[in-house]
Amino acid sequence: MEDVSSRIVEKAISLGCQDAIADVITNRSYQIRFAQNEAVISNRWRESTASVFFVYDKRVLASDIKDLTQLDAAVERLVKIAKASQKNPDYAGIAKGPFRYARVRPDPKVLSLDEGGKYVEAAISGATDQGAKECAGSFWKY
Amino acid sequence: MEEETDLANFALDYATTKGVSYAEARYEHQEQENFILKNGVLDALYVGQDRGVGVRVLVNGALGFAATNLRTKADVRAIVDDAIKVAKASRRKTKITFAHEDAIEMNWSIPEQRKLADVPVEEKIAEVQSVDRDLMALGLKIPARYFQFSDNRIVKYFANSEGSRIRSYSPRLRVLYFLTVAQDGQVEQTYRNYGWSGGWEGIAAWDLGKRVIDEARSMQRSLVEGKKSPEGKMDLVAGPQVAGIASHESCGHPTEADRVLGREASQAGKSFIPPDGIGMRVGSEVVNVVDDPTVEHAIAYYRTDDEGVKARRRYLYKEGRVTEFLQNRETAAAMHTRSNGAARAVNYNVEAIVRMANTFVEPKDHSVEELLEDVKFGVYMKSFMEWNIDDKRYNAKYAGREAYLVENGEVKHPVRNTIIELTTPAFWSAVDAVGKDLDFEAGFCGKSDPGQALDASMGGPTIRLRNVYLR
Repeated sequence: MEDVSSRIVEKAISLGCQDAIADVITNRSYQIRFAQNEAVISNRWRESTASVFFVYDKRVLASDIKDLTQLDAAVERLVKIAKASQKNPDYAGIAKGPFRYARVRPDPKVLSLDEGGKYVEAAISGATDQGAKECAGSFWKY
Repeated sequence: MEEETDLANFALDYATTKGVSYAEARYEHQEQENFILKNGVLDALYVGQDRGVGVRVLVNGALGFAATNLRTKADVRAIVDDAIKVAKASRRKTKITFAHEDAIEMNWSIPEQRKLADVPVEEKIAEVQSVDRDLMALGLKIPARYFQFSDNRIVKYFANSEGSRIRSYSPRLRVLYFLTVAQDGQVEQTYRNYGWSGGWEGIAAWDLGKRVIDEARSMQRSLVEGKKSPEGKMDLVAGPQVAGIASHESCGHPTEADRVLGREASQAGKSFIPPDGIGMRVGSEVVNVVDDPTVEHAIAYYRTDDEGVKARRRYLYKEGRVTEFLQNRETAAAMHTRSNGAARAVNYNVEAIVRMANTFVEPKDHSVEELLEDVKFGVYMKSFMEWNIDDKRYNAKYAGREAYLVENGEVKHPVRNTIIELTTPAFWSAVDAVGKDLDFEAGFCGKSDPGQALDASMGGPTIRLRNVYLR
């Protein structure tokens, strides 16, 4: 993902952009929605998205690149649109870096969690054991 | 074969080999242009396209859903496996079933006189900038002008294991704006939202420039001539925008069958109407509130929903009684009825749930003048600025934007910040006459987890309420 982000930024800068930001997210979320004391649907996602922000001579453009197999073409197209857009005289630039961010170290137990049903059941029985008539909510693994 | 049919049919074929009792695949490709004009300056331009496949399966009476934007057959196969796996892990005590529907094959699209794709973004920006320039030419003090333009071209392909195959194309256009007008240390604010299904001709159909200028002038008049709104019991004449928000919030939401059944309890909320509430009186005999996806050019126009069910008009309240809930196939089966085509999803990557489309008070035959002429004392609230309502859609509050005192049938000076605070039955039971000036505005209707902010519209004609408490 870092490679993809860097490639997008470098490509945009090479095409003349002064500022470029790319935020690449790979989504492998898992969710169980529950209501009336039982699961109503379970969801899973397999998605990759690059959210991008380009500035060419105070012309500001934002987009999401959903097809990461065609990165160069997508960046070229977006920068072309940015160049044809209007200036935002209020645009004052992005904060100067580079910045260093702590790497998040997720709990391996969460990473390996593949079956959320027992946690949902525990939440429901915990609530009903305490007198709740009805329990509803969402279980999420990001 | 095109990508959408290829991937969706592949998903379906694969799912049906896995022993599911039902499977559906929904491919969507959305192309959007969106920009914000802030005080005349183009703040940022957003262009994007999104496409992918969502698969929903019913296995052992449990629902599983999975989606991907990685458009390879390997990834599509993986999401089918995901959906089946998570459904099997659900361990429901009561089994989910779907109400019967006949399979349909259909191609439908919304015509565009001038295709949105053919209009350069520069022309779209110039159109909104010209409205902004005309607004500034009024010479009023308008310290905050915010216009947001968006268009979205949605191609869908739906296929299910019962044989439905539906391809559709929906072009949509929206402009919303916020204005703040100031005068002598006082401010008046407004928010309006217009939507259209169709091509670029929607811009002309709205007559946006005139609407914005009329709005700004009325705001200025409220600031200069506005007085405190009277307090007490009196008559209220409410314009289309007010009728629309009340239709959406206190008729549409409480008749969503998933809320009635409790499925949205931890998200959007529930309903004051119980599952056996069909026939319950909630308004006077002149009140008909409908939800209709087939209103031409309304932003939530569709001919088939996201479960492949044909769209039709739904009477939510008829002659003041709850007549019909908004249903998808799951809720319809739970209530021993049929779906009425209300299942919608904001994109391929979320399940279709019960949603409103275009919700409005059905017009009758009074002119606005007739509605006003026998009001001895009251308020004519043409529009509102803010509202809130509880999660069962019972206690609601609407704060007026453009409103006037009415005395002996005559519209007098503007009144500011009129507050309506009534229960849903009290509001609709007070309606004694309904006008014919039907008008719509667009909205974003929020529901579910992950949140689905969906295109909707709401409206009505002017309506008259007798003897309600205002402040």
